Amino acid sequence: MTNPARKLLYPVGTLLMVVLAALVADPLEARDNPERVTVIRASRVITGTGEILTPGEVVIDEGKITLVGSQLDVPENARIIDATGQTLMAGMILAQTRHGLKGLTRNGTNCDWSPMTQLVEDEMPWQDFLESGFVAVALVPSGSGFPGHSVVIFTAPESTDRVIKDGAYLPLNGNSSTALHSTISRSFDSARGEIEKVDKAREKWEKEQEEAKKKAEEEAKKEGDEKKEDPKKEEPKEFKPPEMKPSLVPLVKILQEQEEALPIIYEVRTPGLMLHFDEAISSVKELKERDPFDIFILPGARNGAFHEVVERLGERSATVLIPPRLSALPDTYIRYSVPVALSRAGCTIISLPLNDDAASMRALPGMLSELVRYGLSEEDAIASVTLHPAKLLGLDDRMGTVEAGKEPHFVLFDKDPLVPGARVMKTIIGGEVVWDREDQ
Amino acid sequence: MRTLSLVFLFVLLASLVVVETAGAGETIVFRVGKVVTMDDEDRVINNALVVVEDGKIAAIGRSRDLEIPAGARVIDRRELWLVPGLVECHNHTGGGSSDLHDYIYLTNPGLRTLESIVPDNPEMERARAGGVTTILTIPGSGNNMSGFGTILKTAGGTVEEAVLKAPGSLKIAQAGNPERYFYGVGRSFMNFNTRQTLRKARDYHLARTAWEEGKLQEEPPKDLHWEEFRPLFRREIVASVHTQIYQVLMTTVKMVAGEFGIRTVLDHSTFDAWKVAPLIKEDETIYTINGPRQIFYDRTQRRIMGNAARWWQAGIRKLGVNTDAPVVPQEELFYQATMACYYGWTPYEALRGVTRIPAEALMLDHRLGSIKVGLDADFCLWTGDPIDPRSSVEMAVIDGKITYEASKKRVF
Amino acid sequence: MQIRMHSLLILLIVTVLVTDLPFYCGSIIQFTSVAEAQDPPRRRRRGRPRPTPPPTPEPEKKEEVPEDEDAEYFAVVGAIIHTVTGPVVRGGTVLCKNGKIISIGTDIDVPDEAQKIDADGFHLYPGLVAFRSSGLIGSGDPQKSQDPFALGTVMGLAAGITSTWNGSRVGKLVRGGLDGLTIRKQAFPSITYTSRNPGAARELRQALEKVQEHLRALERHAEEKKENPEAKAPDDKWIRGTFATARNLLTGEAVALTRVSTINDLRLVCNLSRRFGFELLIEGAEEAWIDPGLIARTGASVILTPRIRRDADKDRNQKSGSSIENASILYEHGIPIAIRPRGTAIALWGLAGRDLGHLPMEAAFAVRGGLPEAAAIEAITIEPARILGVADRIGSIEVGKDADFIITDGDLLSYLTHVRWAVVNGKIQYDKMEEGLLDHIRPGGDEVPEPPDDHWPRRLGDPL
Repeated sequence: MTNPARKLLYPVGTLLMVVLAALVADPLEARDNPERVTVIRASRVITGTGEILTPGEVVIDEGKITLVGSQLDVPENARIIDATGQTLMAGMILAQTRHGLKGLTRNGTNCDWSPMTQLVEDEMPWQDFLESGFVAVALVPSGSGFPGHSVVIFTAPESTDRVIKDGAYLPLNGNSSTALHSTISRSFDSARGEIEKVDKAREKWEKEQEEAKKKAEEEAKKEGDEKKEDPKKEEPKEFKPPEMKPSLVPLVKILQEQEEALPIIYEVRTPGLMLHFDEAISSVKELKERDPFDIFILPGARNGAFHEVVERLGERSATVLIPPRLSALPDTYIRYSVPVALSRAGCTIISLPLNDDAASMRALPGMLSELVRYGLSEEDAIASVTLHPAKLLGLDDRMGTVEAGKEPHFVLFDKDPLVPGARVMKTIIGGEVVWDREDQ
Repeated sequence: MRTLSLVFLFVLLASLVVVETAGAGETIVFRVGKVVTMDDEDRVINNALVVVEDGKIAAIGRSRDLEIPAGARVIDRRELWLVPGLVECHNHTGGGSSDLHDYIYLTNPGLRTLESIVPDNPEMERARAGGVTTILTIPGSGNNMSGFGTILKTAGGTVEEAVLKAPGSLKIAQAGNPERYFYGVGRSFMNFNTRQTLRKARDYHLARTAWEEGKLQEEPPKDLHWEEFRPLFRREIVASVHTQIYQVLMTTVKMVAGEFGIRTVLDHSTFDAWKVAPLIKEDETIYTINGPRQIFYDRTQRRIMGNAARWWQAGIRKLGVNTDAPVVPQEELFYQATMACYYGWTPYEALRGVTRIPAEALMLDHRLGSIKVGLDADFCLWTGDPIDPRSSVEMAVIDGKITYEASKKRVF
Repeated sequence: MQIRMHSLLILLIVTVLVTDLPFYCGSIIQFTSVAEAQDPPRRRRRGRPRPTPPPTPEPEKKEEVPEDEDAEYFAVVGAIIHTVTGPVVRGGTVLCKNGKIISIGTDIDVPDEAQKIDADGFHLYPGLVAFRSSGLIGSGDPQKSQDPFALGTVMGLAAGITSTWNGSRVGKLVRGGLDGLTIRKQAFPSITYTSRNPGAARELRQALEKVQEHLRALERHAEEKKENPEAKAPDDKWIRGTFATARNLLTGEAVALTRVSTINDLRLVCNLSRRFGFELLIEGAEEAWIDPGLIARTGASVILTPRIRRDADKDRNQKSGSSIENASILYEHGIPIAIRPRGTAIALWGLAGRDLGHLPMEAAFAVRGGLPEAAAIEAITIEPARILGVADRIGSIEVGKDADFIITDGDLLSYLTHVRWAVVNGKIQYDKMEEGLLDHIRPGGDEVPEPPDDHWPRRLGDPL
């Protein structure tokens, strides 16, 4: 078919699809009728568990994937989302973004600060996330030091259940090693101060309790000699710990090795800073003997230099958030792919857009294909935007692959997502099409 | 009686002066530990004598083979090496200060450095102390053709005494500096401009030659502006071309040397310019005088390359180094060779690259650059290997005159 | 009697202040402590042991190494060891344990587990010490600011430099790690005392005078307190800024660093140093050769660039300008000298040999001016280490010092010599053949293609 002919067909096809969709899959009806299941029919389904179904269907019931298969028998009353000709995979997850957030940056130690305070619902560029296939994003506040904690949200334009997870990790920024050292030592010193404050208060309370008890006993003795009545037993005052500074509580949790402690994710601008980070962390006495933090963000600039730390990162099976960009070894024109090298060394790769903007997000799948060309397996390339970020954010029981039991968040491409030029056609969150290229 | 005593006094004084300056008519014999002749056989003669007469080298030989002429003044420095005076192909300090950058038009070849020469400037004393006896002082490279350079010896004196050849070369600058300065022109226009100027000059030269040879009836009008270029097309003087980077060097070789048949000296020839070696090897008259940059950080292989070593490895043998003084001080010409050696060149070739090769490049090898009978007595006595910064010049001899003696005042 | 003594003292001080006479109180009044404070201390000739008492040849001092499981041994075997402060050991071994040199000599048992470099035919020198640098180690505390993967560090090591001063710390060139970077904190208060800036000169002189007076008052107070415990201490709240610098200098806590060129300015600053009795470090000192005795009497150390050019001032009927002999003249007068090149970084854009990329070549220029070769090597190793106050750790090959050295394929001052290995803290930090930057140049080491017979002695000093 010649190109003009194809072009002519598009409007017709679009119209037909819209009508069909309106007739067949009235979402209202689906919601009204809980009995009805939703079925997405695609030409290919990349499950993310190692399987590729051609064609494939995904059955959704009660907000969960119930069945994934090929040429399934579909109930007659099922709502069908027809994506014939398209490839379905798990919805993409962006592990770090500030895109669309408003307001000023905050520098210093503000671990309680939430990016949601910088989010204006009506002004968020949801479209940018959706057209790139991102169903969930981890927002981080901006600023140097510990600017706050990350919050994972759905990207659907209208959502009653926007927040998936409040507090996924603690981002740490520090572009100069000196600032990094002082941020870490100062912040943890302050956190330790909070712990000591509470401990002191507890000691004081315990002392008071003991004294009160003694006093009571003595009095009881005296009184007992005089009267044999029931002593007025004073209810022991419950210990009320002094309030810790909220901005330091997440660090206190780290120091105390609490279950819900968040990992620190350091944004490493140069490979040398990674060593400084380890050095600074190990100079915090409580953290010295522990396993090192092993999640890093390696932003785009200069990243060829990171060849210096590939082995180190591999040895500790680190998780690395990195744009899938090809670069050169430092001070040379020698081509080098840091993500591929990291993956080979044993790291888990999570792909980030080169820049935190719409164009870079749109370009991400194309850049993944470049990684594959330089030796990353296709599975790892897909997982780097689906399963791996889901694991990082502690959401892998809910999303990241197309399997029964997980939530129905998908992205559909017009061809294999790793073929250069592949475009996002539909983005589905919670079983609903929230973005459709044909509507644009 | 009074007259007689005056005459006597005069004669006495005159003889004193003659002895001091070792001028014409006197014979001086230098008895040294080693002579590096840089001659055609690359002879190095140990325990040698060099006889100087009338400012020229009269004889060379082992001390046991050669007799000291009667009445000759003998300078016995058996601990020293006698090495030809170093020759600098690219200098801007002949006027002492930075007086040599006159940027009027993109091409103003009519300007001559000759007019700004100060033979006795302090830079010349330093040059002698660094063993440099001849320099080509040329205008800067801020425009495409900045004028004609002058070849002079560093002995000082009057301009007439100092100047060896004027004009000594035409300075052409391709890319690099002229692009950075205030004309706002790019590479293609500059080459167009240079080519146009050279074409007009050549047409003029051919027309005049035809008329001179009687092939033309009518005399073409004489034009002093174009007259200057004629020695260039007769290959009596060279073009000193400021040229670096592979692409620019190719243009130089193809246009200046090829299209116009001008004897070309590739000054600078740095960065990845050595890639042009195969083109240059075709023309034996093209000289590559590398400097002041001696190294190039090759990012394609993460290696630090010595420019001279790269040229040498590429098969270029007409290879020397320069200082671009004052970019590198003139007295450190030998040190450019030192650096070339650190980064991979070989000492003997490097010494040739600051003596005989630049002399040949300037078409003055019949007078300078080696120790041969009949050549100018331009040489220096060194405490050892001249490429080694630890060795120093103890005595500089130019035209048979001792022009620098470290024992009296050490300058460098 | 008591009162009379006091009034006499005050009278004397007033006299001194008004007349600005050189005044040695110690000879008049018997208070030794006060006298000491008032008498500008005679500059002690800085303990410059030349010839250095050769440390007893260490080979004999074989250390019985107890079995130590965690110890990291490192050995260089067969090299020509230039200890700098001691004798040259030919074909010797340097054995290091946990980053320190534990023995040097020709008969040393090297533990099997030691990492060994076979350096037969190579030379071993202490790592070079660059008095001042930029881009070789981090700024401020290297431990907290060094980029362990910086190209500048690699280039520094390739040039043989293993330690340097970055303006606030003396640190080591260590790659790929952050261990053992900083040797010590070192700051030299910078003073300006030249005829070109009389305002600053007056300010400094007055500060020194005022603080000196304060220090005397402190001494008096200490005396007074013995009799009257309630005596009020002199106020020192005003001692800030220039005054604080002045106090550090006068109490000997700091050495003043000054950048001076001309002989007139050298005289000014040396006289100031002698009058107030503070220690002086002179950078530049281009005209010092004119009056080396002045510097020697002052006891100052000099950081100089042998090749520097400074034109003579023809308007003055006296010696002026730079001299290639500067280094050797100062050396002959017993002045400690360290050598620095003009550029204190390492540039890769083309002009070679003018910066820290070729520190030994700068020293070679001092040899050109007459400095003995051994002294030239000292001036880029042990002397800067002494000036920087780290000679107990680096600057020579001695037992107990840090295992920081370079192994070269020839005489350090030769222009064909490359660093083959640089070792810092007992670990190889640079290996020419592994690093790649210079591995294509004379990969077989210090060899030049065979010259024709009797044509070209390769080295200075080879028989003619």
